[in-house]
Amino acid sequence: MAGIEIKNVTKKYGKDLIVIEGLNLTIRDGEFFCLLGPSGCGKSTTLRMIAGLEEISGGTVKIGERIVNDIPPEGRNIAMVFETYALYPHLSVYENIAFCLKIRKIPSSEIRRKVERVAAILEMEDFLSSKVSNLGDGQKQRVSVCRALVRDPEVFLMDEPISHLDATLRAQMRAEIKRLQRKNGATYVYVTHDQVEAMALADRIAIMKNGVIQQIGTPTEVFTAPANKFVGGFIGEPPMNFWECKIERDNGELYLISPIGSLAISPQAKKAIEKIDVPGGVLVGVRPTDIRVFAEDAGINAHRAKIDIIEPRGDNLILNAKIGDEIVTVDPPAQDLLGLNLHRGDTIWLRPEMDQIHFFDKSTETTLV
Amino acid sequence: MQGITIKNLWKKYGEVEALKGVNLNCEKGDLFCLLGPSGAGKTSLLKTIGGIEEVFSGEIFIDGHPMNGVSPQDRDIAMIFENYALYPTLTVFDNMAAPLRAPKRRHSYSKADIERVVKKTAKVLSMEGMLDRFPKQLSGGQKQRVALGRALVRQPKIFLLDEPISHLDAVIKHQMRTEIKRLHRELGITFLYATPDQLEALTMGDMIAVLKDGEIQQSGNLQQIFDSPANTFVAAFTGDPPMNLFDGTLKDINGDLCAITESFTLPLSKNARKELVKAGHVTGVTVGIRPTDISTGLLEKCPIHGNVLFMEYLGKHTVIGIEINSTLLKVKVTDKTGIEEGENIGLIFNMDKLNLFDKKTGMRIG
Repeated sequence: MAGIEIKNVTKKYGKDLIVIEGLNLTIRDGEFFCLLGPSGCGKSTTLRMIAGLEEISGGTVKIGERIVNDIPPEGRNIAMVFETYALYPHLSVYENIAFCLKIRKIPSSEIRRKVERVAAILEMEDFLSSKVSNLGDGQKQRVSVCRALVRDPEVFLMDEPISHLDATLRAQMRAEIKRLQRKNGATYVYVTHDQVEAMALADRIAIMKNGVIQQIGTPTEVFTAPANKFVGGFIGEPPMNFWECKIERDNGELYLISPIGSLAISPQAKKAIEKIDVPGGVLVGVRPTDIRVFAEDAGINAHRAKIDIIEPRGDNLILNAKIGDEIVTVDPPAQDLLGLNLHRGDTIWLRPEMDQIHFFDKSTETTLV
Repeated sequence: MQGITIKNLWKKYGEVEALKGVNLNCEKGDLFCLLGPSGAGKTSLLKTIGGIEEVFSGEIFIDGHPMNGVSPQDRDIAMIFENYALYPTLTVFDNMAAPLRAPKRRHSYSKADIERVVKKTAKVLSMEGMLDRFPKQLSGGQKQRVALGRALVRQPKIFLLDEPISHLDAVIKHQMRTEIKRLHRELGITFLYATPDQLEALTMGDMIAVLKDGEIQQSGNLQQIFDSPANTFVAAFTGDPPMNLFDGTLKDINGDLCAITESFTLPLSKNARKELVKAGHVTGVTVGIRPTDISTGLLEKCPIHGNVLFMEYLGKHTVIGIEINSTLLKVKVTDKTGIEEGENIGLIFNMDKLNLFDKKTGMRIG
């Protein structure tokens, strides 16, 4: 087993195109680590440098106790799973999984034992003699995971291994990958652009943008305490509401003058805000889950809104409500909706939970409080 | 009937049967979603309705008029696909105006007409400020809006959308979902929307038809699909995570009818018992329960318990993966519980929300 240490790593293409500069990242032994970000953020490049598929322009990558900069991919004791599974279509599932062991001249009885063991983990025992071309997409992906797994690597690298699958199959594979990691205890580095996938799978997540890590943390940390506006808006579905606000003082209290109306700043936030000089106002982020819904005026901080769109999801309900021209996304706690029979055009009152809101600097967009 | 009616529709590509006797009623003005995995027949269905592909047998009616033999241009239908194929050298305005300038319609639209229609459509799509831009200056979501606009300038009666937002990023996807819903409401025309994404279908559709292997598995509104799935396929295809399903047998234990699965034994309600009697010779059942209909409880108080394999923290919800023997079960909770991986916990099933299916056929009982 092995952890991974990335120190001051730079990736350049040619002379001038720097895609990653001074990247530092420590992935612990046995950890499920996700690299998350939109396309072009450098997450795959980082993974490919760990794998040895991309040259490292500067800095060091360490797997376990070894610096691997100059070690070819096959010497790094890693296994990699890609979005496209690249199986041999004319071979059977068994032959595909056994392929890399045969090359290594491992006795066939041992190969059989190993293949059967990994096939059992992913419930592919019954398909070992099937031709790959006869399998469904989810099964093919499982074969490619088996093929990686059979080598017993210390580190698993996965690059969007399930992003092209249908949503339902994706959810199912997600659970299987997680189950697998919990059982074999290897270090997993998993690249994805899908925040739900990262949140569900990871012990820790690094969120990347333009080659720079924005934040590293557990799912709970990046959700409840985003480091900046980008992370706040990228994590969470539906995404955070952002409001540009002025701050006003009245009778010793601080108020946010927001597009949805005036909001009294909570005592905790007040202390922090008072310390920072924000004459131009702040950017406020409010999660849809942190807005309460009432059928009647609920007093301070509650503002009248009109329901524009109702998004039922079976086990919960998302509302888009209009206050003036501002559209607010709300994912209220279930108890708020009990007994309310909501329709489009209905009037409701929205009240942000003021101790849950996020403050960002308007120009740098980093978290203030 | 107003809207779209489809009767016993078959579609074949050579030997391959893409649609096998599809029946469907889509009311005028509805946003009707076709939900299913790839290869289910969603696109084939849209294409036959649009008249781009011929039917093998069966009938398609629009507002009561038979469409078999009517050319696509005369069906008053617009269709939009996942890839938007805009003209890269034309501005947003010219891209949207293109259908009105087509030779066939050239004489029906004056320059002023075109300007009026395009601007009105752009306004609905919040693209008024971008009419002079070129496609390469637009984001993915904006390009898709231009494609929607181009289809809409013809003011069709029916709008067919084939996975229009499948390839967009999650954040834009959420936005576009809401926008398409708003658009549908403002235009007041029928939308038929195909998607493999259950969340899209459930959140957007007034009605949803779940398709698999060219056959409709169930048509209904969200509540019907979610609460009473017609079979195990629909149950396992909807919800995030989807419904938990366990195969079991029926047995009388001290006068109580119980479903015995590999992992636990569940006494069934009187109602379930009645339905089983009605269904006749059922020995094997598949028990289904949504992850939100299971709660966690004290170990010593619950006859059903399992080992916490993983916790998925998703913000508002947490999904707990629990292993009972070798079966993986998922529970979705909203409160931040103190549960930890590796722990043994008790489980409480909301028995009113239990679904029973015939194990052999997969069909719903009751």
